[in-house]
Amino acid sequence: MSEGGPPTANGLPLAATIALILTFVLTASMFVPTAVGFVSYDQVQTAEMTVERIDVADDGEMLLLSIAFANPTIETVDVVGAELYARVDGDIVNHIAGVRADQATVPTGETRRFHVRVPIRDGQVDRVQQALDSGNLVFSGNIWVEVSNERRTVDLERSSHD
Amino acid sequence: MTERLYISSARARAAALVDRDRIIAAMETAMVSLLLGAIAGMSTFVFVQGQFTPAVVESWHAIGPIVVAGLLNRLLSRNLRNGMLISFLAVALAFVINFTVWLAPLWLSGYSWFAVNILLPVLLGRSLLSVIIVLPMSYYSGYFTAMFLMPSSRR
Repeated sequence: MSEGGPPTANGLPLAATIALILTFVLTASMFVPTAVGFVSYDQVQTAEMTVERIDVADDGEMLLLSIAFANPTIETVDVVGAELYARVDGDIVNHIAGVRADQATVPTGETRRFHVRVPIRDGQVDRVQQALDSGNLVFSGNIWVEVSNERRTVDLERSSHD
Repeated sequence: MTERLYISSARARAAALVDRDRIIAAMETAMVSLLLGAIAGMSTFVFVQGQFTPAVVESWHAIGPIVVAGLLNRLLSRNLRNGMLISFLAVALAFVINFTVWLAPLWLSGYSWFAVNILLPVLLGRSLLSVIIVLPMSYYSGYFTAMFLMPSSRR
């Protein structure tokens, strides 16, 4: 018993036992958020992103999509961007670089709606209006999300609307 | 023949007398191995998957607890043999913890059995490769350092 200080009731040295428990708590506090982020980063790709509503703005030059995002992970997920293609009969009709998504923070297990602004190319406005009326407008692409500060893309469900 | 019987029964009586101490010692060894293995396993995972840690923690900080676990292994073991037993159990548990967390998404994300069949050996291999160097190196460097600094056993 010369080293390690006085023993605890079960014979282990007290100082080393306290150090053991403190190290365990410290490590667990690093590990839990890391493991939750690791699992959530994989889980988020199973999320369903569906276009719920389409509003027309700026005389048809801008479409406002309302997208529902049900968070399937065990961590809060941030929506940070979008890369969307609006197609009519296979032709892309939107400015790809101008697509903007509102920032949204979606807690675990909840559903939030966010808006994506999709600018329409010059000369395609009439075509888009007709496609909206007849249900020929098809959206596809990715939503950019962040889980534990790591970015990843989630597929938008290929969807047409009428 | 008689003598042998006598010896064996005496051994049995002696064993029964020290049984309680032996059980306590075994439980001590098990608890210490469990906690040290948990520390080493969790730290190794934080080191390998550092991009998911909170921003205040750099991934290499997680090497610290692994080395500390090795040091504590020396301080919390009765003798050399007991210390080596604890280190084997702890490192084995640390490997198992890493495998478990690496494979957890296979079930939590609801992959099909076909995808699981493909991904299971891939993820097992990746998790093994990611920890097989850093975990034993860090743990036993701490253990051997403590052994060098404190050559006499604790009790």
